[in-house]
Amino acid sequence: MTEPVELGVNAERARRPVVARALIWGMVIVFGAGFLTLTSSVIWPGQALYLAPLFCEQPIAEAVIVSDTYASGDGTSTDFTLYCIGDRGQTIDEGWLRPFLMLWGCYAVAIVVLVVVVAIISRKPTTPEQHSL
Amino acid sequence: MAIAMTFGATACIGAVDRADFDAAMRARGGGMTTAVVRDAMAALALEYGVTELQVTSVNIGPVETVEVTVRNPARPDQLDSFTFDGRYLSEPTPVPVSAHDDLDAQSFSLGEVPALDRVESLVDDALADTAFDDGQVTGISVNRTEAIRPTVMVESPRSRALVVFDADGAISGVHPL
Repeated sequence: MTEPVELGVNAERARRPVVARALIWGMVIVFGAGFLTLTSSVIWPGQALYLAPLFCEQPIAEAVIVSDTYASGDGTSTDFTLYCIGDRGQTIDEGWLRPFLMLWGCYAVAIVVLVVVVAIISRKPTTPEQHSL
Repeated sequence: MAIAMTFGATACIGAVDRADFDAAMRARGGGMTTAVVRDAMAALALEYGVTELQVTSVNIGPVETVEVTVRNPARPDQLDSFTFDGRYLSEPTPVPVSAHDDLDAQSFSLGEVPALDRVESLVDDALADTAFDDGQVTGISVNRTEAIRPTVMVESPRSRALVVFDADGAISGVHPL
């Protein structure tokens, strides 16, 4: 009579580490992607140009990343802004938050894909002996 | 939002410095287009809830700045100034009107200025006519004195000139300054 209850408890106990592990992996991926985005966008802000089709529409379809460098109390600070520009010098300020978040999402997806691929490759094939056990 | 980061020696690959960007945009025409004038007037018409407005001046500047002085349709003796940045219309700013101002003589509708339907041509023609080295258009102004005369200011590091057009957009004079 008590068997189903015990099975349910065991299943719940077994699920907890899986959920915890998934949460940890999720946080590692999100924060890792965030750090990667932050550092890489400082060194190579031009990577946001690849997102131009998502922000810029005709006839102002060309994208440019503009840097504003100024002296601050801690040294030199640089702001980046994505502009959509037109042939006649029209400009639309798209800011940096949305391009940055987009990049963050792209890096997160790339890391997930990388982790999945590595997990699949590194999985050891089971031998017939293991199957029989 | 712009992420401000303190980073000593960082090579910002793929980014353009602000000064270079501004110069490049001015060289392309500064965003002075027919579309931005049309958008500004559409926003103003919406603001007043009318289809046509009487204005006393239209100033078009680089980086898609349009300043328009409008006769308030509800109070034709009053002038309001607006700025349009390509996307948003500013709040109206009251403009003092002198007792000597003849607003009927000074005001006009955009339909009376076909030249404003070809702003890009005004810029190109003014640059071609002045032929300054590194010349750039720094502003277009439309006012009515005796006649409606769009004027285009062209500047270079060594020269300045005012190119005067007629209302249809044909050059009527070039005045070196």
